[in-house]
This record gives sequence, structure tokens and C-alpha cells, in this order.
Amino acid sequence: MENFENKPSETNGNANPAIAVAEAGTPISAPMPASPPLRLKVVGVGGAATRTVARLCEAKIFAAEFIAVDTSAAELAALERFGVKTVLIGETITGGSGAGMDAMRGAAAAKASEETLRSMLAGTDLLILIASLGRGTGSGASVEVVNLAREIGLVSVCFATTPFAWEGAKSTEQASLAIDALHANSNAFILIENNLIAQAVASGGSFSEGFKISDRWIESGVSSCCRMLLNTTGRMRVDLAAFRNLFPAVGTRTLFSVGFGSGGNAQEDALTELFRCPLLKTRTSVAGTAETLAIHIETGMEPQLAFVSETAQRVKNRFGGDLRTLPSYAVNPALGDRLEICVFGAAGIREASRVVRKKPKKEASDAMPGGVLVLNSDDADGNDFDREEPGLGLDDRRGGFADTRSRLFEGKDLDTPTYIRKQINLDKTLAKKKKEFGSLRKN
Amino acid sequence: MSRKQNHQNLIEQMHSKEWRALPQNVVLSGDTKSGKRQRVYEILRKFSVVLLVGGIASLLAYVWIDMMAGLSDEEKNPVAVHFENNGGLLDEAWFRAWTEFDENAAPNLHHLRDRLLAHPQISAARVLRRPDGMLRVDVLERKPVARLEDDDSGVRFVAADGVVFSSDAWAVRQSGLPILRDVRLAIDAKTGFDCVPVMAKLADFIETARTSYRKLFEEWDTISLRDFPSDERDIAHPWSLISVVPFAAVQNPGHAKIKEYVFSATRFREDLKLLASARANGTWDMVLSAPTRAPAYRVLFITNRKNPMKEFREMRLIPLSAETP
Amino acid sequence: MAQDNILAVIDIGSAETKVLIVDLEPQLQVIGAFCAKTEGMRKGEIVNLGALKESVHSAIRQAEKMAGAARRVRGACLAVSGALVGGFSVTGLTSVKSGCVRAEDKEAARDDAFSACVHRVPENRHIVQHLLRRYLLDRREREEPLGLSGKELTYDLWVIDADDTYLTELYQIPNRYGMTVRGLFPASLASAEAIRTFAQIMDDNRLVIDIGAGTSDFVLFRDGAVVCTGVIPVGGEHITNDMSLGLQISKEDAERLKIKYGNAYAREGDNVFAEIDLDSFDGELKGFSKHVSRYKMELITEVRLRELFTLISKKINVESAFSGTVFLTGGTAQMEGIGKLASSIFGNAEVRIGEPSLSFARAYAEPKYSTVVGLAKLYRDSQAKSAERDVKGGWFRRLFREIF
Repeated sequence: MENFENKPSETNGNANPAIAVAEAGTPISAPMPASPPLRLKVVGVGGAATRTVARLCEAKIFAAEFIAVDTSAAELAALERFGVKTVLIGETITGGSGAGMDAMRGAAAAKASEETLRSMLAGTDLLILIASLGRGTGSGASVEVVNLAREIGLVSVCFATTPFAWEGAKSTEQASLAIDALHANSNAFILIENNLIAQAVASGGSFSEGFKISDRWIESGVSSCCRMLLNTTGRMRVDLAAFRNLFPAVGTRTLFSVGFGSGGNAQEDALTELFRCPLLKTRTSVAGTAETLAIHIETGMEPQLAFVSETAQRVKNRFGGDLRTLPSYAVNPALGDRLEICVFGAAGIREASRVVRKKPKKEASDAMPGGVLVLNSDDADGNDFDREEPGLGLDDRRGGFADTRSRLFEGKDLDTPTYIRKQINLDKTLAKKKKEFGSLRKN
Repeated sequence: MSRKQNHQNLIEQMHSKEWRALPQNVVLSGDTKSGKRQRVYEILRKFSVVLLVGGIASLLAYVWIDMMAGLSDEEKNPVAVHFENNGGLLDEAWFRAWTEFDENAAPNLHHLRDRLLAHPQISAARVLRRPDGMLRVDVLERKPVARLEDDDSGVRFVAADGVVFSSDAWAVRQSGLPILRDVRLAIDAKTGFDCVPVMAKLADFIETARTSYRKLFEEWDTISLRDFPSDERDIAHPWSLISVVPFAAVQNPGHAKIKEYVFSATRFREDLKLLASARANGTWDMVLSAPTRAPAYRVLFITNRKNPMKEFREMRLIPLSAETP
Repeated sequence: MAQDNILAVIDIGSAETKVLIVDLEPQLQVIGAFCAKTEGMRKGEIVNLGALKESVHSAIRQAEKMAGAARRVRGACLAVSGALVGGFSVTGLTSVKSGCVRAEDKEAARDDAFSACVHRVPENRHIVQHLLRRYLLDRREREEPLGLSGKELTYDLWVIDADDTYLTELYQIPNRYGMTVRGLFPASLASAEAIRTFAQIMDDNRLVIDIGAGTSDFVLFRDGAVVCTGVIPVGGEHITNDMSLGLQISKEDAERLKIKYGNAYAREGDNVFAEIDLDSFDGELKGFSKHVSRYKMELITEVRLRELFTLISKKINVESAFSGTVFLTGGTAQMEGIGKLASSIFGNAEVRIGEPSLSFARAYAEPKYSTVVGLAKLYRDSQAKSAERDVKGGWFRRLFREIF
């Protein structure tokens, strides 16, 4: 389901109708495939988020299912004309009139309409959730939706906007709680703090300009996400499994940044904007380098290989991506001479205490448990084998520290004795040394 | 937000993120005797300091109020007055008349001062009560800088800050004061008196002329302010030209050579300098006695802008035919 | 107020709590000290707050008795350490407006760094300290950029933060005794400060590692300025634990073994056959005598210490390549051979075992006191700095505060 090229097509043997249309020069989106091979759902929860989703749907940039979830029937009715699918939740609790400013009511509404939400989420490969936090529905219902997604096992990418500081302490508090909950339960969590928009807008920019910027970020993020996966024109694509592996664990920190450039100096401008994006400075963002990285570059016309690789290299230098880097690029004629770079990444995968990653074994370890590993300084770094010795549970291995909280330090459990983790069998080593020096002694 | 405010905000944010911002809940475990004693000492100290400060404050307040409003009523002695006016013409008699001073009543110093300030000639007044009961009044008087043209309300003078007042005493010594014409009066916001708006500039001009260019000044009779706006209500429009008519032109219109001088309100210093130097080095007489002499001239000062790199101020004598006034 | 001059400096370690009562005026002076065993803290983290409180309070009481302070001490200064303390770097960027760097540009860069820092520190953590690492002018390091010409000024800030829960619990300990926490410093910086004068040259590259019972704190200095700090939650306790698991002996025995026979290198040769008789420790008769192989014990220690040093070396190499002197301090640093081991892992650098050698605490020149002595010095220095600033800030306000 991930690769277009594998799907048998009806017209000719080796070209998918969507690709054929693109090469003819018309925009990709004109005839959308009846059922997209990749089932992407873009869900907006809460007032502002639903409006963003409606705008995305109207722009028809890519093929995905757009759903707006809200407790207020009036708001949803206003969005019908954009072609979004609307889901009204919690009629019994709110009576179709909105959750007020209360996150509890929003959560209750979502819980009440759990079945509806489940059926909405069923049959999805990737969930992109947009939530506007601070008000009732956004803060309350979005948390429930993400929980549901996690239960079902969906990979979820969540964009959340926070209220301005002047919207009141209650808003900020509710938003804060929601952020924690969403972060802990989504694979990728991107926080867009409205307060940071003030920094991005040139001084003296108007209020709506600020909103336009935050919308632009969300749109870029969502469209980059989708284009990376639904890419039909670029050479390098990202398939769903690879994308899923970008965010393997929930609760990791997510790196997200966009940069735009146009004109002669497009590359420099775009990169500068990318590196200076205020989204990098939010508190759920990544400090330093990310471990996995996905770079999506969009240009108006077919770019040169050198250009793509240079840009990707520079981005990688800045953001890391040591574990895995996925480049992808797309050609969107509507862009003209503009260049758009979007970066996704995750960090802290090794530290996520919920998931202890088991590193792939090295060949030498096949001799286990009786094998003896010679200790040299190379082994001291990073290559821990979290294998259990027969008969010893994890707690027993920590000995005296069994009653303390276990914290992983960069993926290693330092409380367990080092010799166990390095697979050093003390008796065997002793015996070997004795033999070595015993023979010397005799001489 | 200004940079400074941003900076302040940032500093506050940093402080709130530091370890000091976390609340500390200091609990005195057990009330030892020394602890209790200390706390009592603390409270006593604070209390005594508060008392001290309060006492001093109330004492000062009493003294001040007494000075101002006369709290002590037993004083039935007649109040003596000591009146000071630095170099002005108003004297104690005037003071008593104007304020209707009653010696035997307890004077309200505020009222006295307000009454004094209600006179247009007084620019500042201070009324104090001396410890021996005597009243001391210090007054600053406005000196006239120019005269308004005579009209029905008698001779009125203008002070340097623009306030208009009439005074019989000064009328005696009018000689030497220039007359202002075509002046629209406004009400001064601070004092409520009539005033000439933007008088300061004009006063400056008169002072400069009187001090540095005395000879020129003595030839002048009337000073007009030109370029008043057409709209009477628009008082804020600044006038830009000062027109001066010399005595000769007024008294002897047929034979006067110079009918009018027109100075710029902003660049009058250069203009005066030009005029003075022209008079001094003889070009003036040369022009006036030139063969093509006109019956009369008007002197204009303009800025020569032919060469934009070098602007300079120029004096032009415009010949007037006999009919033009 | 006279009381303000007396401060209790407390270093709560996983094995021992060291309390110093110091008098800040007119000169820093130690008037009382006590060292007691700590209950309820492991690996630098609080496991049993009640027990910890009791043990620390009794230590403070003893120290106060020794100081003879008639009135209770009101202020305390603490050290933070443990896995819940983290350090990261933040950069602030500003473009130099007039070609030449002026004070406003420095301030703008600093503000940018601060704002990035404020956003980077998560909600549940608070900043313990932030230090300027260096200025970068057009990507080149400059000690003092004022007056130089360039396009872009970078302010490199190192921030040390700690978890809120940990801090709140830590605060409770002096608070319940009636003391306010007046100063808080990372233990790594405190130890480094204490042994600073021990070094002959102060302006060079130093790596100071304080290996305590529960944690190892380290600071890297380059040209005398802090480059990075960090905490590895491994300490002497871990060595003891390893030994007790590896040699199948009790923890107390392992501890005694470590202190008496501990060696950081597993020595070969005849040592391979050596065995230690556990009975030799105390006069108690044991039912059976237990022998442990010396080589095994040393091997366990070597493996653990090697891992510790390698972790530290990896962490500092992220920031900058290290070449200079390594100073080891703390209780565990007194183990034999640890200097050689550290030297082999840090690229054959010179390793010295440091002791606090500050003038006011001559009687407390043992490595285990380095943190607490350094804390007192740091507090005094920070007081002096803020007094300088306050002078401008209004004498009237200070007078007011003094009265009330």
C-alpha cells in the first residue's frame, strides 16, 4: 500500500493514472484517485483547528480525508461547504452548543461519542491531528482522540496551537495540561505557541498576519507530511513504514521546522528561516540534535541533484539525524521560483523510559552466555546488551538498587553492574588468567 | 513593545524560571523560648519603627497645616505683613487693596496666594507664615516686553511669556516699548488670562534687537505679526513674518525712505545681522542714493535658493511706488 | 541583621551529609562543622524524605552545637546533584547593527539566549544556574567582542536545570528546620571551586570530577571558563553493589573490602592468585571463612570505573576535545590506581587527586569536604557580586528591607 508503482493500473502497464496526469503539466490534485492507496486522515479538533482543516480541504493540495470534530453544531454547519467531513461529538452533554471554556466538558463529550470517534479513526494508516488548545473542545476532546488512536495503534502526528497569554490563565492552564497529555500519547507532537508568533512577525505586523504565519506553518507541516507520503512526482519518497519509524515511541520530543525562500537567494533564505524558526524554541521541541530526521524539499521546477543533496546535507549538519535520515523532495509547479523546506525529527528515543530499545546484536555475541568478551575501550561505549542472564530478573540484577527508581541514562541502566552488562564472566576470566600466569609461574 | 519592556519581561521570565521562584515553606519546628523571644523582639521593633515614622510625619503635617490654614485660633493679635516684590511696581498698598486684607482675621494662606495669582501681572506668589506670627509675601511680577495697540480697554502690555495685562504704573514709562499690531489673543491654558500665543519668539526678537541692535531698535515704531491664518479659529497656525514699521514712516510718510522691514520669525538673527552690516559698511547709503532711486522701499529678507548647495539669506530692497502704503 | 551573616552550608550526599556553619562577615569563616551518615538518599535521589530529613536535621543540630550559635541559623545553602539535574547549551543570535559590537548588541544577544533558554526549559524544571560560555563573533570565538567588527554575535549560554519535584523535596529539608534556602549551586561547580586553588595554574584546561558515593559530577573548564557540566548517576555505591553481586558477599563486607583493598586496576601476575579472607576484617567469629579472589574484585572495580570515565569522556567530547589536567576528588577518588585509569581513558592526560585547599577551611582539607567548602565560597562570591549590583539599586530600599 505504500508504493505507488507496485499497484496495478488500469490504463497502461507501467504508469499510474496519477503520475500520467502530473507529467502532462496539470496540477497533481485535479483528478483525485477514488480511494487513495494511503489512508491519511487530517482531523481538526476545536474551533480554530476545524477552520484550518477546512482551509486545507478547500485548497485541495493533496489527497487525504479531512475531518472536523467539534461540539458546536453551528460551527460545523458553517464548514460544510468546504467539503470537510464533520463529526459532532457530545450531543448529549453539550447539546450541540459547544463546550464553553471547559476542557472537562470537551473530554466528557469525546468520551460520550467514543464509538463515533472510533469508527472515524478506523481504517487509517496515519492520523494527523490538529488541535487548538485553550478552549473546551480543543483541550479536552483532542486528548481523548489521541488516547483512542494510541489504543488502536495508530501512528499519530499532532499539531497543537496554544492560546495567547492574554487570553487568560485558565486557557493557558488547560492548554498546558493538554500539551502534556498529548505529548505523552502521540508519536510526534509539534507545539505551535501563539506567543512565539509575535517573534516571527516583523515588528508592527498585524494580528491577522500573525495568524497567517501560524496557519502557514501548520499547512506546511501537514502538507509536507502528506506529500512525503503521497509523493508522485519526486524521485525520493518516504514510505509509511519508514515514516512510522521516524517516530517509533510515544512521548519523544519532536523537531519541526519550516523555511521558505524565493527568488535568487532562495536556498539561503529558506535555510536561514528554517534554522531560525521559532518553532524550534518551544518547550516540547528538541534541544540540540534529533536522532531521526525527515527532510522534505519542495520546489517549483525540477531541482538539480547537487542542490538537493547540498541542502539536505546542511540541514543534517544542523539537526543531526544520526540514527536515520529520510530525504524526500517534490515538485509543485504552483510554487514558481519558491522553495519550501520542511523538517521533521524526533529525539530522545533512547531515553524514552517506556521503550527500552534493543540494539541489534553484534556478531561476536553469538557465543553467549558462556562466551568471554575481551574488554577493550571500544566496548565500553554504547553497545550494551540488555540480555537477561538466565535466572536473574532485572531487579535482581540491580542488587541493592532494586528498591530505587530505575532511570535510564542514555539508554543504559547504570544500576546493573557493568560486568553483567558487558557480558564478562568473572569466573571464566579468572580461570583463564590463572592458567596464563600459572604456566608462567612454573617456568 | 519597546525594547526596554521586552527586556524587562524577559528578565522577569528568567527570574520566574530560576530555582528561587519555587516556593519555600519555612516552618519553625517547635517554639523554643529563644524563638518566641526573638519573634516578640521582631514585632516590637517593627512596631516602634512604625510609630516613630508616623510620629514624625504627623508632626510635620501639623506644622504645615498650621502654617497654611492657621489651626491655632487663640491668636487674636493683628497680623503684620512683610511684602517683597523684587524690582516691581506693585507694593504693599496694592497688595492690601487687591486681596482685601483683613488684619484681624486669621488669614488663609491658600486663599491669599490664589487671589494674588488671579492678577495678570503676578506670575508667581508665595505666602508664608513666619514663626512670630508675621506674614511674609513674596511676589514675582511680569514685566512688559511690548505694548498692544491702543484700543478701548486702555493701554495693555505683553510680558515675555505672552500674558497680556494692563497697568497704570507702567503706562507712565512707555517709551521704548514697541507696539504690536494685528495680534489675535488667546486664553492661556494655565492662568486663564489673555495671552499672545507663541509670544516667546517675538519676545526673543525684541530682546535681541533691543540689546544687540539698539540703534536699529530705536528707529522702530510698530511691530506686526504677519501671515495670520485666514481662519479666525485656527490659532495654532504659527505666524512666520515680523513686520516692523519705523517711526520715520509713521510720522513722516511722505519723506520716509523705508516704509517697512519684513523679518523672518525663525531667522531674524541673520536678518538683523545683515541689516546692521549693510548699514555699517555703507552699501545701505549707496543703494538709497542710487540714481534710479525709488521714492520708498520695503526691506525684505529672503533665502536665496538658486544654488541648492549654498543657501543664503539675502536682503532685498523692494522699491515701492508712491501709492502703495 | 546580625543573624543574616551566619549560614548553614549543607552538602547532602548519598553516604554522608556534611554541614558547615559559616560566618559571612567580615570574612568567610567556618565556625562549626559536622559530618553524619545519610539515610534515605541513593544515587543522588531522595528515596525516603522523612528519614533523610531526620538525619540531616541531626547533623545540623550537631554542627550548631559545635558552632555555639546562641541564636538559630536562618539561612541555608544547598548543592544539587543527581540524575534529575541536567545541563544543556543555548545560543542567542543577534546581528551587529552598526558593524562594530557595542553593549546593546551584547545585551540583545544575551536576551535572545535568555528567551531561547526560557522556552527550552520544560515546565516541570527550574533553572539552577546559567553561565556564559563564550561569545562568538561571526562563528569565531572571542573573549571580549566589545569594539570588534563583525556581522553576527552569538551568545553561548550553558544552563543547568533540575526537576521541580526534586527541588521542592530538597527545599523541605532545611525549611522544616526553620531555615530558608538562600543559595543553590550545582555540586560539580562547588567541588571545582574548592579545589581550584589547588591547581598551580588557573587559566588552563581542567576537567574536575567529583566521584561521590551516589553520583559523579564533572565540570570541564577551558582557559579557565566553564564549558560544560554534568552528572553521571554512578558512584562508590555502585562499585560496592557490583562487588556484592559479583562476589556474592553482603553489602557491608563489600564496602569494607572496597575501602581496604580497593584498586582501580585488575592487576595481573601473582595477584591473580591472591585471595582475601573476609574474616580478617573484624574480630567476630564467623561460622565459616569466606575467601574472595582479589583479581575478581579488582576486575569488577576496573570495569565499572572504566565505564564511568568513558561516559564522562563521551559527554565532554561532544562539547570540545579535551586536553589538559584531570582532577579527581570526592570519597571514591582516594582509591588506589584510579589516577592511572583515568589517565588512560582521557588520552594520557595528567591526573591529580584534588583536595579543598581554601584558606578558611584548612581543617577540612579532605576530598569528601570539597563540595561543601566550595559551596560556601560560591555563595560568598555570589553575594559579593549581587552586593555590587544592589548599590545602584537603591539604598533606601535596602534600608527599608533592613528594618522590616
